[in-house]
Amino acid sequence: MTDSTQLVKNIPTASENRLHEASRISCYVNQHSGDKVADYLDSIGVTAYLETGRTIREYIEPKRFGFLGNTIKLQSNLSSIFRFTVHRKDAIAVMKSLIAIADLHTPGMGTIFSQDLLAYSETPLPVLENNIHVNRMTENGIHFLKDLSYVVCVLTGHEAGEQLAKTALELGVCVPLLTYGTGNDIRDQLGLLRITISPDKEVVHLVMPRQDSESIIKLLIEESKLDQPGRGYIFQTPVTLGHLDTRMKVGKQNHAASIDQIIAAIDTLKMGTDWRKRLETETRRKAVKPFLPDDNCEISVITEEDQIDDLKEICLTMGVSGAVTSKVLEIKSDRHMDERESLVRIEMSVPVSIADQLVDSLLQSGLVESIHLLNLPVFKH
Amino acid sequence: MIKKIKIPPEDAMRMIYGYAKSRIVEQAKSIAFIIIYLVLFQVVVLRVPLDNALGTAGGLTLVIFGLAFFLEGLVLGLMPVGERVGVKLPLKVGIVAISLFGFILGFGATFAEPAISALKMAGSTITAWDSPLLFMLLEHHSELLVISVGAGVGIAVAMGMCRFYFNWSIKPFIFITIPILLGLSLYASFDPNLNKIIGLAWDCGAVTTGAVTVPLVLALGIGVSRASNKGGSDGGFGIILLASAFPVLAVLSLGIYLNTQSPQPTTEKYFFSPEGKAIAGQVFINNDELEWHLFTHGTAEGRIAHFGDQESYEKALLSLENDPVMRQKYLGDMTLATWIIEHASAEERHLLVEANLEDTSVAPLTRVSETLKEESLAGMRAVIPLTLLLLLVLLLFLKEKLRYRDEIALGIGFTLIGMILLTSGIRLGLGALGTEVGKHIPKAFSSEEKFIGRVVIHDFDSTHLYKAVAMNGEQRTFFNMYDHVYDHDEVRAIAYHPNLHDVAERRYTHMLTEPPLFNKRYVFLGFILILIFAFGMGYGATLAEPALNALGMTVESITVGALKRSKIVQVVSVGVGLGICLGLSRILFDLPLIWLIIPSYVLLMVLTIFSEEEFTAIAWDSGGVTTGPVTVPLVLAMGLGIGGELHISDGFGILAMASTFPIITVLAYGLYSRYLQFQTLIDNSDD
Repeated sequence: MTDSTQLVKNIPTASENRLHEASRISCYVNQHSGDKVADYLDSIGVTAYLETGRTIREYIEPKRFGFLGNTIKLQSNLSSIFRFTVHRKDAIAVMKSLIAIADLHTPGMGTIFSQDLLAYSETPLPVLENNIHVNRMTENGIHFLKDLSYVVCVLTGHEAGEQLAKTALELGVCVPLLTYGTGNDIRDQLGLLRITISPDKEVVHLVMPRQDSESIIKLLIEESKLDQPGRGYIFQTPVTLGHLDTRMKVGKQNHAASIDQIIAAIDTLKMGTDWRKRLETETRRKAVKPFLPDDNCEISVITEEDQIDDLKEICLTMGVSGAVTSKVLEIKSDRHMDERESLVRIEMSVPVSIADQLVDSLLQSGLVESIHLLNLPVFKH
Repeated sequence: MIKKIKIPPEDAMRMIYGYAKSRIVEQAKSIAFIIIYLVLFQVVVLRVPLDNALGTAGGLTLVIFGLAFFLEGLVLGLMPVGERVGVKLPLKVGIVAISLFGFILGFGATFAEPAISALKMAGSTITAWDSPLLFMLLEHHSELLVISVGAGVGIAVAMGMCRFYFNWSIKPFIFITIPILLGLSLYASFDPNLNKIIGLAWDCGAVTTGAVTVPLVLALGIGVSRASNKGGSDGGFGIILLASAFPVLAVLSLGIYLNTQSPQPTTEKYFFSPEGKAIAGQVFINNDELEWHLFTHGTAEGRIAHFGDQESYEKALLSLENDPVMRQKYLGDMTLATWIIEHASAEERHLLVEANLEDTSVAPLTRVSETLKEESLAGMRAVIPLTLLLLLVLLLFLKEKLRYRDEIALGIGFTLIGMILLTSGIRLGLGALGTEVGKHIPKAFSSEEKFIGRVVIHDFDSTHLYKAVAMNGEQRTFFNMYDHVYDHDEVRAIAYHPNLHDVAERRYTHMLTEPPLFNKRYVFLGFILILIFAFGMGYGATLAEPALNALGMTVESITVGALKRSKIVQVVSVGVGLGICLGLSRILFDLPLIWLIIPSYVLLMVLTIFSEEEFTAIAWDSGGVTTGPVTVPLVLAMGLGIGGELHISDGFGILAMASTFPIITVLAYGLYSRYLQFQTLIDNSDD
């Protein structure tokens, strides 16, 4: 696997001073701890973008009226999703602080992970070197998992996301996170007929061991029939470091620790997820042709809602097909009442061959607040 | 420019078909319950055949299409425009201008969707001597009533805007407003005149938030709160709660003010007698109105008192039959047949034995076209001004360009069509069905036979009469009769009334009556039956309520599906069902409304203390949205049917209860699901 920091060739010179090698930290916590996280990020001067989602877990309850066995239902918890970028050297410290603040050690409280990428933005990354709020100590045994993959599934159809989340839970992948977004497909080209197609998309976010990702993606594709047109798409990006929520099941429990907790403990002991290897092995996969194209990259953009139309036009002329837009809030300390904006985040998965050009035209358009370019590998179906 | 893709017509047709079908099937499902329920209840329980089944079916089809168009129109047109205005307004103007805009919107919405007709319907049976203040408010000061309700809603929307702008909590609003309302109501309950308007005030709060206003205000709120708060999921909610509470305040204050000029309640006899002329003069402008009220609302007692002596009383009664001018003066639009069946006493019926009881109602076709015409006007009034206001602000004031202009135009068109189809369909179909059932439902608990008409038996032979002796030795005259159409073997003994017998013409006028459903001893079964019926009807009607569905959609998208629309709609519908039961028992057992309101709201406030912020706003809002175009006519028809049978003066209070209980159920549901969530964070180590 290539190192994820590999640069795109020929970065436009004009934008070089706005280019940062950064780490994007994504953190989703139970909504009750959302305020704590927002306040903390505020205090260290990080501008974060907040989206609302829900995590889905299996809820196990004994059958009623004393019948034998259990019933499994799905249970949802609202989550606040924070995304922000920091210098790569600060990433671990910030993540550790957040783990302490949002109590992410406790299973069920949330997930945090970082991804190394290139960020283009007007505002420089926050300087955190001497910030007293950032925890630089290496105590309390927090161990981050490496070699994880962040899989994003963008699905069409009401409740399609929940279905896929259920499959992921059944496969024991991770705690799925579901968000809503709007698609950016041929709908706009249909004229008024577009109203017959719902623009709403359900996005399922999964973080899983990289060695399993390809096989799991394959299963998910089969399960949600993503190989048929119009159903949606799926792609993955590499995770540098992650601390995952292991609480996939809630409710009745017969043992001192759940199987999820045991797995998490072994992950810590073995310093990684390699031992979990199952489904298809590495060697077999090398033998066959890669299942997904591996020359795509993720480009995500934060912009004013009003600019969507112009951006869409740029994307369409460049030939971008997979993009999903979701509403985000900016968490920023020094924002004045009358400069509030309605922001959106557009996440695209594009072939590397056009990534350069696309970033160029996006920058030239002057419509975007920041661009994240996650170079390799992005698999897309 | 984005290139257009050409779709072949047949593919386009297929796409439209699939799209339309899913919407229509969804709405058909949502009203299926109430239709099946009403039909089964009428045919199986009350054993009354369906009247005009074809017309009703047509009306119901209109309702389904209306709901589908209306909801789709909201999603495509009104809600995006509302949200857009909400997002953009704070960027351009300060909070004062936003509040002003909110006030105009709320005030305008009240005029656009006048709930006053529903309130007038609820108050159509009130009498001037029992509740003069209430009567004056509804009949003479209805403009004042609308203005004060409008001001209440306007202030509510303005305050809601402030709340979103400054990110205030909803709870202080609840804990300040509700105790004031309860205190005022309690104060009013000690004054015999003001006591009567408590029901009106709380019902005003419930009905003012109409089907167009709710989604608009929700979308606007979401827009304003989107860029302002820290991402709490209560964005957009809370205005409807305020818009339900402030009008109560406004109406109670108006009542307290007008009370100084209003006479006190008195007896009917005194009110219509010459001695009571001074009081009557304060309520009625002239004698014609007084006499109209006397005939359409009063009883024989009042009429005797009014005309003084027996002779002029009988002359006036007979003029109903003979003199069209006098009939118009006394009865207004009411037909003589209706008057004789529903308002006349037994003696008066006997006196007017010659009158024709054949109903000369309008042909159904004229009724359809007239209804469509009326509802079109009402629909345009409800949709167009509000939409125009929003568009004007957006295009001229904020100078925004609209995305998807064609889509929004189509959406507004859909909303309008949907509104017209829905309200006409309700009048022709669902409402007619509800009125049918409402008319027959008192049968369930009534222990007396009900007068339904009369037949004249020609060539009546007096020799068929015979005497029967009661256990106390009293003797009465009877004759035997059988029904030649239905059960010709069964002979019944009929009591003979000499004054119905025209001996010279050998004619006897027989009064047709309907026997009660239950024997006298089992009347309580009838009460239980009615309460069960009321629950089911409230539940079923609420499932189809468009404003609630719009709220459900908003809740679902704001909570990313953690709270499903269907779940919210279910929980709210159960609440409405319970509320209607309670409101109806107020009418059945003549309980004072204040003793239903105070405990419910105290319970609500306790629940609110323990509830989460975002759930609180959603719950209180769902109370306001429940009483919309589907529920109100059905509930009022039933309430008035029952109230009329029991001679209760008004049908107020049911709607107030119907909008209180959903808050309780939603809050309780919220607490329950939080308990479940809490379980996810702790290990249940106890087993």
